[in-house]
Amino acid sequence: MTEARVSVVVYSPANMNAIDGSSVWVQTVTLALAEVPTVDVSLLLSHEVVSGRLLDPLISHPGVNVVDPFSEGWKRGLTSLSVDEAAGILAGKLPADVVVVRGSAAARRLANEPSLQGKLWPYLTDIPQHVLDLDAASRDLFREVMAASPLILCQTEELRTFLEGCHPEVAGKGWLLPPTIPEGVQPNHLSAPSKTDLRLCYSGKFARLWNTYEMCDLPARLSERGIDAGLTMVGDKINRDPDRPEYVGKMKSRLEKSPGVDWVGGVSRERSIELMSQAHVGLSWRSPELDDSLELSTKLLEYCAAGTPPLLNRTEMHERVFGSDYPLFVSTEEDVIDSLVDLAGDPDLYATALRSISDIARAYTLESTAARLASLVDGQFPHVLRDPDPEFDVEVGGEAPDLVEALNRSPTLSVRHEPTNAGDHHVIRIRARPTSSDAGSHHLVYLPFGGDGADSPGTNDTIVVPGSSTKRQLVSGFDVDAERVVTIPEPVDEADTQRAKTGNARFHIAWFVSASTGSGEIEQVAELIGQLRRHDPRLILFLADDGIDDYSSLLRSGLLELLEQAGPGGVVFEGRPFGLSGWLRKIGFVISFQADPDSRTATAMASGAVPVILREPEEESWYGDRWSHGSIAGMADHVISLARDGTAWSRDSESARVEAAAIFGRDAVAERWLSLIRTLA
Amino acid sequence: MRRLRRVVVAVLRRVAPSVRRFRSLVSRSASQPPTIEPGAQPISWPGGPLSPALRTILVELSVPPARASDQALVGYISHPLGVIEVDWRLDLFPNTVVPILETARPDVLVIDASAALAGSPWAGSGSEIDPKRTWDLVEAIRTCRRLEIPTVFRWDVPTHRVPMLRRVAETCDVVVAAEPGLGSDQLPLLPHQDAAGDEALQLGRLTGVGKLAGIGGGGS
Repeated sequence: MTEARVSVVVYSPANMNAIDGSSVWVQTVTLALAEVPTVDVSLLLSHEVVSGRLLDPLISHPGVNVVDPFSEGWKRGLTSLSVDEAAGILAGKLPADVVVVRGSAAARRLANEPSLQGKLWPYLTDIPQHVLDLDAASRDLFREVMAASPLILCQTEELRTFLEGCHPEVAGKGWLLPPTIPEGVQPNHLSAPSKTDLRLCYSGKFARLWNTYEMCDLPARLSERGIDAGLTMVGDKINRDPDRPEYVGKMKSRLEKSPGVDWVGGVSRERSIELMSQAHVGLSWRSPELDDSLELSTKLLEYCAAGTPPLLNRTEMHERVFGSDYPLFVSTEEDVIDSLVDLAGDPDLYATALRSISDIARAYTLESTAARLASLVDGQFPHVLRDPDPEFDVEVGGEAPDLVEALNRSPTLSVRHEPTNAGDHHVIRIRARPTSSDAGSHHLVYLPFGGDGADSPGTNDTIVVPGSSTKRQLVSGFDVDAERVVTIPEPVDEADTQRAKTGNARFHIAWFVSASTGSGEIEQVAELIGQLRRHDPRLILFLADDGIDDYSSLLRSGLLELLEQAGPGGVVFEGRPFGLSGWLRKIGFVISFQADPDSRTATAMASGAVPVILREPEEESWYGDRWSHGSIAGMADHVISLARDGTAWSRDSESARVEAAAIFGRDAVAERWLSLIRTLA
Repeated sequence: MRRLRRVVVAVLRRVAPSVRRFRSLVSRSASQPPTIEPGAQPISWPGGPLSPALRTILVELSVPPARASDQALVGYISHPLGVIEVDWRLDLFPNTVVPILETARPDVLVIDASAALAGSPWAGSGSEIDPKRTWDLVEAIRTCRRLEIPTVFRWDVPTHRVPMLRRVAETCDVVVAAEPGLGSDQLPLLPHQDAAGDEALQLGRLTGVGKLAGIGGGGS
């Protein structure tokens, strides 16, 4: 790796001579990576160049190195590069710190290349996206690919949540990389449509589930309702349908012969967007069979960028992007006709639709994608952000990946992690040495679990514990001088937890248990859930553990009583959720009976789960007083009042999210550590 | 009542193929065959099974008391505000659905789409939020296939609220709608009287699915 630069190669078997979803994605991701200041990006082509429609902007870009194995003489004979050949090139002639690879077969092959271990950033769409499609082969795929990949790029939150919830190997590795619209697209402001002028546009592939056959009927059907409408169809790819072999011929005939339809064929992406901008409405009405898709259509975003409101199916994802009150959601063909008739006669409705889409495209620009990728690169390669003259050299001994991640957020710390250089179990030894002086090292001992390692510190070491009750335990139980003990909370990856909650998450309560959870706490939860369930049977306790194989001891400690208090269906045992941040999307509250937050409870709070804490008022805690209650009845009242009032719950959820980031977030925790180290210096 | 039970099962089995044919006629989207086939080799869900001790307790808490031989039993996967009220209703929950089905052997399994909504132990099964919960639902249907228990899927909320259930529903023996337009186009109706959702749907009405072939012009 060159100093403070990260070399990234983008590779996909997609043919960059053709315009389709894969090749357009490769183009935009390459362009976005070129905008990341710390990245040197190359694109490894897999097909001989015959068309510059997609490649010209890349070849002419000073920040992009287009590697053509055919002109380089690396590939002779056939006009396309096999995945095996690409793997050989990436392993030898074109080394990189990161290989962004699209496609499951390619990712799987590269994952088996020894020199690419830990370097793959896969982006997979040709994978099962429904549990009914999961099979042994898909399990193997993720096992192999993720073993070689520190992360996986996901187009939507929906896909990330699904993959993390299905595959333990993906959990915690999902990174959002939303679709990107080209730069420089300006919305075209047309006058409102009317009964004598309604212009429609569809751009993309022609396929049965995309309803393109039915779309060709729209001008004629609208004419029957007194509307003079025209439809521009853009694209040249007609998908075969195995169930209907006659589809291709019929679709082509429709495109050529339907009254009011103008089929312009395949054009460049820029021209396609230009044609979209000349229409009043974009068509994205699809078969309901696609309603469970976990992908967001880039075309939809292009309609928005062009200033053309799309007509589309109502789905949860589309509601999240467009808002649930967007006026052009449809389901049936009759809906489509009715909506278009309404639109042609109601300029206000058109204005409302235009307002709804005006801001959508801004979240999907090349600039925002580049910013996401820059953040990703910075997180994966902390040295690129590091101050060339760091203030301290810090060595962390012991298994503390979360702490190391947090310390790496501070550019003035040069962090070295020695996982095997541990003291006793649960004891993290930290040595900090100022780089600008000959002063000796300062030694700290971090005890994330408190007293477990209290007898390990040397006499003069500063001890760091995650909370004040742990500190008290240390001082009173192990006779440690209170002056030597500092509290710094455990860090939480707050960026990973920033995921939209599901609707009505406020009925779902999380409780994290371990095999050592005591009977006192279980009894308190039993009382709480009993009170809650008597009030509203929709309040459900989701109980997550940390990998408990045997619940016998918890059952002896009162869990049975808890189940009886909750009644049928009141408690769901989740085991150990392997995609915690995704799982937390459905959680509205997290309950705890400890003044010191454990990392899972803090993560839940950072996700926007409202913390409901039982603690003595005088007890010090990282939790703010507003989250704390002196009694079970107080906890129950708080949950019930927020469950009843969705607006109040949303407000508290957002407050919890902000507060957790400020206390437990990696940057905040890194700042506390830096202050402590400076104090010692 | 034993006879009633036999009739219910027989009717459901008889009507299922015609309902499927009916649906394929009226719906463009019904061309995909059910993905779950009897005898298909299932994969196990990662993370391991529930603690045996816990599972035993949960099953003991859930199994209904012994019923008289002439009483039919409806297994029900529903939202807590679900509408079917019968004397012998067996509520089914994610952690124990399979062992309870195996133990209690209900005469029919009814799944309400609304079970997947928030405020239910099945929350998240209708979307990407909780694939494990969707899997639990699939396992329940698969178990019913194995035990020859008829399955009825009832759309009582729009499909876009629970999109992952569309294909799951297709694997059930009978698919019905609580109101016209729910589910896919023109499904046979199995409505309830109270749109608010808390009016009882009596067993007699449930077994009325035997009349589905004559509803809405569908069937043979």
